[in-house]
Amino acid sequence: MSKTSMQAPNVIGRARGPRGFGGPVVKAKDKKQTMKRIWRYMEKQKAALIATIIFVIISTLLGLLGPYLIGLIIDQYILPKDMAGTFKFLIVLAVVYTASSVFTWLQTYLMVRVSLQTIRNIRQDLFTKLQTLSIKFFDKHPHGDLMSRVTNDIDSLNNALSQSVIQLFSSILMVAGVTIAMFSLNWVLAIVTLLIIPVMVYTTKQIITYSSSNFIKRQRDLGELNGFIEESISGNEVISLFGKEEKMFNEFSVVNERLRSSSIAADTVSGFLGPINNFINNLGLGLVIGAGAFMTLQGSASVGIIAAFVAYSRQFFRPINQLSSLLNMFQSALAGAERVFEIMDETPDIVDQVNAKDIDSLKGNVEFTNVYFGYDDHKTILKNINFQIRAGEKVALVGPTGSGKTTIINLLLRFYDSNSGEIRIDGTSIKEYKISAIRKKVGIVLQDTFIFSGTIMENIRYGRLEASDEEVIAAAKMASAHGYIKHLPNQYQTVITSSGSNLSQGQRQLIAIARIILADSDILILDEATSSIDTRTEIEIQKGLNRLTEGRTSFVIAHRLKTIENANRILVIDQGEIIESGTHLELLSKNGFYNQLYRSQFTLNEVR
Amino acid sequence: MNDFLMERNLSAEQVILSLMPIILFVVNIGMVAGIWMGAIKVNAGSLQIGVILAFINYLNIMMNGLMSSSNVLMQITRSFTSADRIGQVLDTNIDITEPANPASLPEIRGEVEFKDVNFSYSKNGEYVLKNISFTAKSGEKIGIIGSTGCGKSTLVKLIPRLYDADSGEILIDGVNIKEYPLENLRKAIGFVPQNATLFSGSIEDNLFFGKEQATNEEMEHAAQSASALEFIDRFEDTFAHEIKQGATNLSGGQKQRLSMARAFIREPKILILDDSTSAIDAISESAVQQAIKRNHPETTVFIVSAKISSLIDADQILVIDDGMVAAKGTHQDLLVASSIYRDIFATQNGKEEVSYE
Ligand SMILES: Nc1ncnc2c1ncn2[C@@H]1O[C@H](COP(=O)(O)OP(=O)(O)OP(=O)(O)O)[C@@H](O)[C@H]1O
Ligand SMILES: Nc1ncnc2c1ncn2[C@@H]1O[C@H](COP(=O)(O)OP(=O)(O)OP(=O)(O)O)[C@@H](O)[C@H]1O
Ligand SMILES: [Mg+2]
Ligand SMILES: [Mg+2]
Repeated sequence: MSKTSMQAPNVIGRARGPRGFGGPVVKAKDKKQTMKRIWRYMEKQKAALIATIIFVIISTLLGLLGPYLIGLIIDQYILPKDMAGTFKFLIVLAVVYTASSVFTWLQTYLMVRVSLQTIRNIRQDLFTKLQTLSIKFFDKHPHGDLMSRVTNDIDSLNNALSQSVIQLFSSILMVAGVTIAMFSLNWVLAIVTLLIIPVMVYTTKQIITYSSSNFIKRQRDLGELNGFIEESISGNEVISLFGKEEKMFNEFSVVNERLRSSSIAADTVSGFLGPINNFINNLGLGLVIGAGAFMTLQGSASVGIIAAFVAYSRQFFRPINQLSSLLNMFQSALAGAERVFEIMDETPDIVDQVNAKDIDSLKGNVEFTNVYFGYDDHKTILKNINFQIRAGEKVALVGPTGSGKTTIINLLLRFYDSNSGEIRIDGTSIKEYKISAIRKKVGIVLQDTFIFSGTIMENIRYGRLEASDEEVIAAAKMASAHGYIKHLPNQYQTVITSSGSNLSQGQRQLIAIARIILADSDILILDEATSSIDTRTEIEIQKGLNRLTEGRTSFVIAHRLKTIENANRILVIDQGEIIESGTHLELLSKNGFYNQLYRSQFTLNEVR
Repeated sequence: MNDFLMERNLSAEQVILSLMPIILFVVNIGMVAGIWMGAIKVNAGSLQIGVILAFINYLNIMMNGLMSSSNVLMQITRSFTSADRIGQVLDTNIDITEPANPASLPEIRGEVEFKDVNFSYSKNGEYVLKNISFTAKSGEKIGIIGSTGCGKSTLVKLIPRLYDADSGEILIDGVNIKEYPLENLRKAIGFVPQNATLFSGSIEDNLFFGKEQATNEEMEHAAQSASALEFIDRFEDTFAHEIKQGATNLSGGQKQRLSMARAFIREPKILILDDSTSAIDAISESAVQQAIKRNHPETTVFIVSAKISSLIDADQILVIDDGMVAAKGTHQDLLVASSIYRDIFATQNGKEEVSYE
């Protein structure tokens, strides 16, 4: 992922990983494929789409009828001074124009619906996909960039769909119709008008090939910008504490400037299209009038025909102009769509096996046999982990930081799969269960508590969605969270801002604990669940947790060893290996690592 | 949410998209009327047929113009709402302001004094801190302990002016902190926030956050003090090791130790550790404590912790209860004077248990 930073020598290159998936080569990979996929989404609304196309045909035909009628009126009625006829046909003309407006409105209305629905489906799929991807995927991709794909990239696709599809059809129809009408009026003048087409096609093509790579680059830079913003907002406290506002500002300027220049590249090139095409149009118009005048003098054309041709040639070039700028817009949309599909194509590396087992409940026997694991291929974190836990046991994992405790939990929950060895729950390899089933039956309080924006009630209820308000409150009481919640301005209905920034760290942990109490899982995991909670509160919670863990297998990770003294078994982990195991008393009398760890708690300043 | 977004988009788009057909209609009807008027005049002989041609042509040009301006209008309408939202952010008043004429002050020594400080997060909300008063002499170690949510983090956040007190004064070296230029104030403070926020980039980049252009020795020294060198050395690329966004590729304790190293490298006059050893094992923590004592003897250190063992040898421990200083003194003083402190001590079963063997 770090290719881009090398080609772009700048401050950011050093300071932060580049964002986005593509390497330095910015090129639409397979436009046809991408378009086909967009089509597959649109297909679902065939009925509306067909109706739209019918409306497009009608309104286009009506639009074509207009100039034809005008020519007719001038030649047949105005010139011969037939006022009654003129009036009659003008009424017809008015009706035609009115109907054409109505159908134009109908078609856009329908199309907007179709495209928004399509976009909605794509967005939904993208989101669903994001949810199935493993933690590993999110480890690798900056969140801002992912968000940019769900918002910006999809947006540019929306723009293109809602406007271009209709215009594409009506333009093509219009061009075809005008061509036919022109030929039927006067084939020589028609050919003169068409002469200009190859010139336009050529220039458009040139410009588009050039701009398409710029669009891809622009979307990518936008993703990077978003990533940067996301990180600096979430880290804003640290930025001000360390007075790094200016540094962030400078780095932002670089990313921002890069986006500006790629946008300029994308937009100016495509901006040339309009003026160039306009020029070519006028050239065409001049040709037509010149030739028409000449022919009228010769008697092979009439003033009415010239009038009709003037109107036609405008109608002819407008859609062609539109087409070419449409194609351009499509480039930008395709660039976005590609980034969206890129994610949809990620194969989740952890998937359910075919006929994976669903389960109603777990007994809670957990067994690790010869488990090896590393987050990267070249570095093994866990080495030969073996243990067997009987249902209902309370197991503690202790060890220095970074020894691999959280990693063991990650494997148990299948956030990652082990490199070798076997993990079994109730005698069955965890790979044979449905992932969702495991995660539903195993309750966990993570080291980093996650709080959603929403009310306290909603946040606790997240543990079990169907729980009643009373159950939520009971869980909060058991977690000693009730005490502070009832002092909040709106109690359980107090809205927590994103990531819980208006709660203290310990209060956040209490919510996470209430959540797991509510969840009523078969296996419980508490990873540093009470690390920021004062010891008096902790003791209260402990009572609740003891009741909860009774008869259930539970894993507790804690550095405050007091919390785990009563565990049935303590596994001491150091550098990815289990170096000691036993009960608190056994381990203390062993006079090994645990003993040292335990004693150092009380005599912080005497050790070493 | 997604559905809601779709509905809203739909209605906005529809209003705007109706504009096009309406323009089309109006102009075309104009065309019909024009031809009719023209026909009458041609009939009366007061107009040449060419004028009608020109008229039609002009109307067509006008229509093109209107069509494209309706497009522009569409974009403008959209941009208004966006501009509004951007404006809202830009117009937000900066609540932490620089002093108007910052006094040219000698270098900060690190004496911190709180005088009757009150603070609340929202204007009409309950006070989170009430009547906080204490003095920390330069070079003292101050411990802060208290129950969950009692206001410990809030208290220490006032020192670097992440928030300003509602009333009362905070003085450093006898001068109100509002008189220091923000940059100088924060430069003198090394802060380790309760949750360790690191940035994507290398370990080195993150340490540079604490001190730009720090030398290798300085980095190693700071990492050593924070007991982080031990794991950094285990990475093949040591200080160049890449940290992912949100530091997901580090363990909880590793994050905390880096966050401490980042503060140590500043050589601050005031060091604030907000529960920064909660995810660190006792052995590493003891090493960190030793290092602070050894390397920063002149630094005023604030240690927020739930563990008495982390504060036990502080010169002064503040027991915070419900936003107030319930008691202050050394460990020994408090064991005698404060029932809250004794309670806390009891839950951590003191040294008795160690006499186990
Ligand atoms: N997502 C990841 N990608 C790469 N390496 C990782 C990842 N998560 C953890 N590591 C590394 O794996 C090792 C073990 O981490 P783990 O989180 O299991 O430690 P821990 O025992 O839980 O420590 P702590 O007590 O600090 O939470 C650490 O060296 C860490 O740097
Ligand atoms: N940004 C904020 N906006 C509103 N209220 C807040 C905010 N931050 C904290 N609070 C509230 O202020 C009170 C004190 O919070 P603070 O973070 O200072 O507690 P603490 O003593 O550090 O607790 P802990 O030991 O859990 O970290 C809490 O009741 C909390 O809900
Ligand atoms: Mg961990
Ligand atoms: Mg706190």
